[in-house]
Amino acid sequence: MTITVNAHDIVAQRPIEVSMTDSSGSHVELILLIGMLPPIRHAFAFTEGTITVPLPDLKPGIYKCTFVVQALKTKATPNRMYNVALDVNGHSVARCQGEIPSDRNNDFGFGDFKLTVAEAA
Amino acid sequence: MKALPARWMWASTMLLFFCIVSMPAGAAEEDSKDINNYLVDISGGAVSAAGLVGAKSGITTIETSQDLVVALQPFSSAGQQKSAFGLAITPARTTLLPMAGKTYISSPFARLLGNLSFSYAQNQVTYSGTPYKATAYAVNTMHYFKLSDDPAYAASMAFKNCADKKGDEHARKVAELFAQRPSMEAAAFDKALAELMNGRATALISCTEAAVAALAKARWNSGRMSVSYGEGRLGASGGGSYSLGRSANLNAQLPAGDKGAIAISLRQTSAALDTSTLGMAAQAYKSSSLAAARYTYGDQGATALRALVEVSNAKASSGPSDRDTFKYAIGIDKKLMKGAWLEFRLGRNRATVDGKGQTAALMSFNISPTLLEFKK
Repeated sequence: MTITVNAHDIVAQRPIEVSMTDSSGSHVELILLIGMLPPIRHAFAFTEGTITVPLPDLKPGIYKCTFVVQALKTKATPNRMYNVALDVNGHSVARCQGEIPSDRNNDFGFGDFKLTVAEAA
Repeated sequence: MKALPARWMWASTMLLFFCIVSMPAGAAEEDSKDINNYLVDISGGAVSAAGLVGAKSGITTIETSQDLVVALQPFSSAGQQKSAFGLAITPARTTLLPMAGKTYISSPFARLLGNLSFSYAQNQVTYSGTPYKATAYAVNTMHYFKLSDDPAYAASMAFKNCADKKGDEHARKVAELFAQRPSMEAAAFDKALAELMNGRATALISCTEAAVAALAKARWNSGRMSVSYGEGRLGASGGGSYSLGRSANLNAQLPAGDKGAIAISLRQTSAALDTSTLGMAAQAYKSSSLAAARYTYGDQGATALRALVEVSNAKASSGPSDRDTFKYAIGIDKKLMKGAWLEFRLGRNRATVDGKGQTAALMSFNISPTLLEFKK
C-alpha cells in the first residue's frame, strides 16, 4: 500500500453531491465510505472522466468518511500512472496521483476525512 | 522537380493537426482518460520483409495506428538499401495532444482522428552506382466499423465489466473491514486490507486479461478500414531531386463467417519515377492503379494457422512499386508468437525488369511493430 490519498475535512450544505474524477493511465477502482451508508464504488472505463454519484439526502451532522483508491495495470493497459480526485459539492476533498511501483501490478491507499453536513442557507 | 506536392503535404498535415487541436470537447481534457493508455496487439504485422526482397502482396494488412509504416513501403523497397531511418507519431496517443476517451467514442470521425498518424522515413539507395537519398512522408488512419471491435474501447470495457461483476461484494467487504478498524491493531488492519485489495487486484487483472484475449481472438476478422496517403522523393548527392510518386491507399476488411475474412486494397500511385531511367537525359514517370482482394480462412489462436487466396490487377505497365505484386497467389500464414508471423506465398507475378510473367514463391517473417512499441 503506497498510494497516499490527500484528504481534508469539509463542511458542505445540503443537498450533498459527490463527484469522482479519473484521469489515470492505469485502471482505477474507487470506493467511498460515508458514515454507515452503503459503500459507493466505481470502476472507470476510459469513456468516463468524471461521474456524479447520487446520494441519499444526508441529515445535518458529522460523517466520518474514507476514500479508498486502487490502481491496476494489465497487459493491454500497461500504463502505471494514476490521478484521481473526489469532490463534494464542487469542492476538492481528496486527491491522489502517482505511479504503481515498477515491481507491482497494482497499488492501493486510502484517506480519511470528515464531512460536516449543514442545512442549506 | 516540383516542390509544390511536398508543401501541399505539409499544409495538409498541419491542417489535420489543427483539426485535432480544435476539436470540441476533445483533446487534452484533464478530467478524462485518454486513449493513449490502450495499446493492444490485434494481429500479425504489416511491415513485411517481403517488401524488401521483391515480390509482395497487393493486400495491406490493417493494423493499429502505430503500424502506418506500411504506407512507406512503396518508397523504401526499391534499390539497394544501405541505411534507413523512420519515425511515426500518432498525436492523439501522445501527451502533447491526447484525445479523451469520451471524445474518441463520440463519432466515427473522432476515431479516425484518434488513429491519425504521421510518419517520415529516409533511406540511402544506390542506382547504377550513384547514391541517392530517398525520403517519404505519409499520413494514415484506420477505423473499426463497430465500436465494440475497437481494441482501445474493448480493453477499457473489459476492465469495467470485470470490476462490476463482483464490485458490490468487494465494496461491502471493504466497508466491513473499515468498520472494524477502530478495534483493530494497525498492523492487523493493514495486513487484512492488503489481503483484501491484493486479492481483488489478482481477480480483476486475471479477468480483464482473459476478456481482452478472448476479444482479440474473436476480432481478427472484424470489419475495419484504413486510409493512407504518402509521397516520396529521391535526392541526388549532386543536387536535383525526383518524385518517387504519390500514393493513396484504401484498405478494407470484412468478416466472412466466424473463420473467414475478405480484404480489399486499392492503391493509386502517380508520378512514380521509373528508376531504370535514372542517369538518362530524361526520366520517365508512371502512374498506376492497383486493386487486390484476398480471402482468408483461419483463426487467431496462440498458434494460429491461416490459408488464403488472393488476386490483383497488377500489369506489366504498372508502376515500379506495383509491377511485381502477385497477380494471383495462394498462401499460408503461421503465427509463431504474439506479433510474429511466418508467411508463405506461391503465385504468379511479373518480373520487375521486363514485366514478363513468372512463378514466384515467397517465404517471409512478418513482425508487428507493436512488438517494438515502448511500454510505459
